[in-house]
Amino acid sequence: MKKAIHIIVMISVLIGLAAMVHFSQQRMDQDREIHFVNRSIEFLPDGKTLRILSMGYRGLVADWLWIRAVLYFGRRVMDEDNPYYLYELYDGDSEKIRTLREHHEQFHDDGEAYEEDGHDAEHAQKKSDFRKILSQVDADIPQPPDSVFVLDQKLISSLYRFESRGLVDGVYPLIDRVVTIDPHFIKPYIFGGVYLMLETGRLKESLSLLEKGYIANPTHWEFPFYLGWLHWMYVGDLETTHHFLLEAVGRKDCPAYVFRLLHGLTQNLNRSEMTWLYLEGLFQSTDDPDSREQINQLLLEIRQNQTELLDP
Amino acid sequence: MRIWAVALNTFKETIRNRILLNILFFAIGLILLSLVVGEWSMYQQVKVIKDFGLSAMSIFGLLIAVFIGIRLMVQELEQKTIYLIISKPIRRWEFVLGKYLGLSITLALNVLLMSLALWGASYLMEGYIDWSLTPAIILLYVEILLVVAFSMLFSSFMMPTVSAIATLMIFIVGHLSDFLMEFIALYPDKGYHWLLNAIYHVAPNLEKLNLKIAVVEDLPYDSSVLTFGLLYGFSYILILLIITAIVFERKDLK
Repeated sequence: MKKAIHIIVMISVLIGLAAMVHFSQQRMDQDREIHFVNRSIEFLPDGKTLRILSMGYRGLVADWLWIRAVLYFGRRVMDEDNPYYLYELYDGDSEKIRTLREHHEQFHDDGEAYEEDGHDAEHAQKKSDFRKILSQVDADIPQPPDSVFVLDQKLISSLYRFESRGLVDGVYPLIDRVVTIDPHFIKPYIFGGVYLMLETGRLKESLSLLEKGYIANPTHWEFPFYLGWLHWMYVGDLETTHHFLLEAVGRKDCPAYVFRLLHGLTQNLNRSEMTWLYLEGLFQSTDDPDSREQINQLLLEIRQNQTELLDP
Repeated sequence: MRIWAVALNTFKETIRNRILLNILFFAIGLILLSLVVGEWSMYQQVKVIKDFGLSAMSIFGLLIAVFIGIRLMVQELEQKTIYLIISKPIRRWEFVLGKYLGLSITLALNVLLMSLALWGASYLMEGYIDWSLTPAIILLYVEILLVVAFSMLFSSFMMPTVSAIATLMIFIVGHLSDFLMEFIALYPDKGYHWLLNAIYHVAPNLEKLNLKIAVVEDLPYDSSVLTFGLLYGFSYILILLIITAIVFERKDLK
């Protein structure tokens, strides 16, 4: 009898404790805010210090920071599929977010654009307002150089859209730390220098990252190639582009399209053809499906407007 | 022969150690977990798996060195079994060497099991076994042996806790050796450079046994790195074992 009571008391205590765990977890889930700005980066030591502290595990620490950078980017990038972005857009209104996600999955999952009516119009307005606030945050984004204006307007708007500007600024310090700890980790340079540039328009940071990789990896053709791309499209400096392409073709395993680009630049091909060649090169040099899709879209846009693209 | 008898006995003893099994279990678990973590790395899974795997082998190797290497000598003294052994026709240096060899075999088995887990994980991702990791694994094993030699030396004349801290300090200083030289080059006017120079030359330079980044990122390295790494490591280990044997010879066990 005494033993039975003892067992019943024990089970009751365990059930009570489990209920408390469940209750406190639910409460924390309700209270927890999805912080849009992750301040933890500010408390990370700089890259050189981390390099020393990581001792024999530089690769491991660099991987960990790289994953942090990817997650940071993924949570903030401007995308209707991203709950964090919607959270910010709708001030944490969970009901609104749920409705919008359902609507998005039903009508826009295949990439179809939002219409300017009813539910879509409200969302478009929200996005537009949000965009305005963000553009004030970071006004220092590159404008198309004069010589680029001969390009198709749709292409210009694609290449100068910078959808996520002001949203993922913290990713650059993280990536800089990754490559300071492990200077031969190639992917972060390319991601930060090229694909992040297309999202954020942070030219200075992108150039700085690629230049760092260019110095640390003197045998890789990708760095002068991508530096050439930035100087071509966002700085409008053809001489520097030419210089970098010359560097790229002199390096091991440089693909044929870079030679064609250099040839085109030397022959003074029009900018549209050169941009096509460049984008084709970018397409071939990445295995990331999302980036390939993005670049492929740009290539399709050029192809669709091929007649207008031809320079006078 | 006597050395081999002690080694075999130590191997049997350490292989049954629960701490060792736990550490091995966690190491293999971590290597397999890297398959999941790699998913978050934006198409860098293979690099992450290899980095995680090699680092896990190194970290857990250090833990084995600290937890088992130190207990190896202390246990004999605490359980008084040492008196039974030294009463037999066996020299003390033979006992030290036998103990070390026994643990080395256990560690070799551990490193082999962890390597199999790593090769298995990378095979799942790449579809082939990446043998290019082998030089890094060999040097990693030498690094663990070196740390074990230190832990045995410290435990022969220090308390177990102090020995553990000292071994850990050696590991940290060993990986910061290159930084010491950088510091001297950056600030040549500091007066205490003789001390840093002394530390650099006396403490083991464990970075010289670190080929992890080179093999994972396919960086070019000279084959002499492996040869001289082995020479450096084993010479250092021999020095430590000789010192340990001398200390143990002089130790008053009465």
